[in-house]
Amino acid sequence: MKFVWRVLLLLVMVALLTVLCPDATPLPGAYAETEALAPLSLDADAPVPDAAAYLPDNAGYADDSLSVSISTMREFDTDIMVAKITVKDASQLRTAMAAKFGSTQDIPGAKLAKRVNAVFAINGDYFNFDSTGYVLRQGTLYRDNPREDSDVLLIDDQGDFHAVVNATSEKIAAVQGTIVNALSFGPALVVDGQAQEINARLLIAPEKETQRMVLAQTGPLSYLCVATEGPENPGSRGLTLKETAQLMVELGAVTAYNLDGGSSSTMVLNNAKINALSTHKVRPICDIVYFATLCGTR
Amino acid sequence: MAEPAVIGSLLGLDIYGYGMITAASVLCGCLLCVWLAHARLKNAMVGLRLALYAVPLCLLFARLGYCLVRAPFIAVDYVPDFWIQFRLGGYSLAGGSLGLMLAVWVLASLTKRPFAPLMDLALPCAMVALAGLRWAEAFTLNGVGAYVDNEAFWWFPMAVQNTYGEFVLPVFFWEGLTALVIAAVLLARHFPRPGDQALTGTLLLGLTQVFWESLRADDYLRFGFVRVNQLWGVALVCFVIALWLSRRAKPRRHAVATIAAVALCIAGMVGIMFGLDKLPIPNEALYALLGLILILMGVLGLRLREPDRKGGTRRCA
Repeated sequence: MKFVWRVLLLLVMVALLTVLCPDATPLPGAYAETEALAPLSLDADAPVPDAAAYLPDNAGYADDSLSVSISTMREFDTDIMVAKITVKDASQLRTAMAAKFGSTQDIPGAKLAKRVNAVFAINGDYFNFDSTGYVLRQGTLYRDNPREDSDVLLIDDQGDFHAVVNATSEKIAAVQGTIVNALSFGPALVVDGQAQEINARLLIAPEKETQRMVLAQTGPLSYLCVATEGPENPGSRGLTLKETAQLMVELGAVTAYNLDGGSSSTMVLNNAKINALSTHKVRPICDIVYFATLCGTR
Repeated sequence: MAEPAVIGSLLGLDIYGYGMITAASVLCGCLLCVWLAHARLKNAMVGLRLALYAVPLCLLFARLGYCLVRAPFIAVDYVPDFWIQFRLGGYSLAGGSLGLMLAVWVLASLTKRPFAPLMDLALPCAMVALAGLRWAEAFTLNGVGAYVDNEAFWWFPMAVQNTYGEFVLPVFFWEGLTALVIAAVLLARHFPRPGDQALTGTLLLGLTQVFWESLRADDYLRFGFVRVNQLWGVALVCFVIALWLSRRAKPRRHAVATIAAVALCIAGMVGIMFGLDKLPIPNEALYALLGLILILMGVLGLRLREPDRKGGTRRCA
């Protein structure tokens, strides 16, 4: 009799597994996602870009709504790739995540860019690496936990950049306008056209000569994305943060913000990585900042 | 591969495909446990009790393991009562393994039976359940690896399609198959010394876990860039080798050489994991090297399991 009861108990426990184990990893409802800050139509898919609008030799892209011009230069003994971007509407500057928020999943930047119909994309801030940062993407605030002594870049619905130096939740909340995206890596390299002092306490090796990735605004709806190569690429030594700030001032940045660099440094055009190709390695990343067209196929 | 979807309800609670396969595979493991207990110990009740302790403890510890690893994120990103909301998902292999060991220990203590034979009973059953748990990931977005860009390999089990229509490596299938093969090896072979069956299974699980986990490109648990299941795999391997080494009668220098070899292998594995991201060596070559190192560690470990040719073993488990 005891045996039968135990068998029954075991069967009940096993049956309970069907409801207690929906997945090895948490479902979307596990995350304390807050409400959208504003009713923006930011979750709609971007149009598929017209293949004919891409310029030959990875030189960029041009249609009526979006212009991307890619060029290379050499400074600080380093090969540098510069993308100048002009958009018609602020909603064309967007961000995307590799998986639902809370996931640790990373994917190659080119794959993520293809999923969201990006014309041009760069890596973001790798927000899933730790639990700090102010994570706001496409109008949804996912995390309000700014890292101590770090700067946050806010992008509003007009496509304008706001660098919040030594960011706190209060400082971020005080920024005027409707913020659509936020990036938490830093530091801010250029603010109001002036190169910033680099905070030596930062954790991202400010003195290290390495691959850097910078997102900058040069004017209304005009942006720069700069990828420098590093010691992993033959013939390049990489840049310190101070040098990167200096470079961005020379390139005409009004606001420039340092993103995740090193092997994460990813610049994608037409669904292919175009920077630092000599390493033959592609580090998967968890997010991208990308530019979409308004003229493609919907 | 698809987002976890509700396929029914039980007592008003949603049932997911992953949960169904999980329950079915755990049931298979439990049935095997009862049958093995009957066959080996002539006492099916022992197997039933082991299953009764193992199911809740594995579930609890698998959950606890997940929550401990993700604690900093849970504090800021998750719903407040995530810790106790099992229905939201989130489990770890390492925690589940500890839960199994605890269940065996509890049973051994309560029945005054030796620990080792009960572990020998538990491990093949756990491997059968693990196989199903891995295959259950087919009902989720997890368990996948790198993109398969070569169209020649766009067939199962070399590739499966994710929700975006992209072809990715179904690591979950190979992990499940590996667990089943380990179970088959454990059941097919005779292990004269108590505990060796469980230790052999643990060694094989640890080694294969290091390899398969390196291929995962999904929602795997990690500390920064370090994969938790790989750490756990290495810990299991070191534990088994240390245990077998401790009962060898061979001289001290043999032990030192073995420890040095294991340390070198681990250093090599760390170097390879770093190299997958950084070194200008093709990843295929690095994975092949990783496989060779793991085979070397396996041979090293299994040789320690065999009795000394001179002098025999110092003591038995």
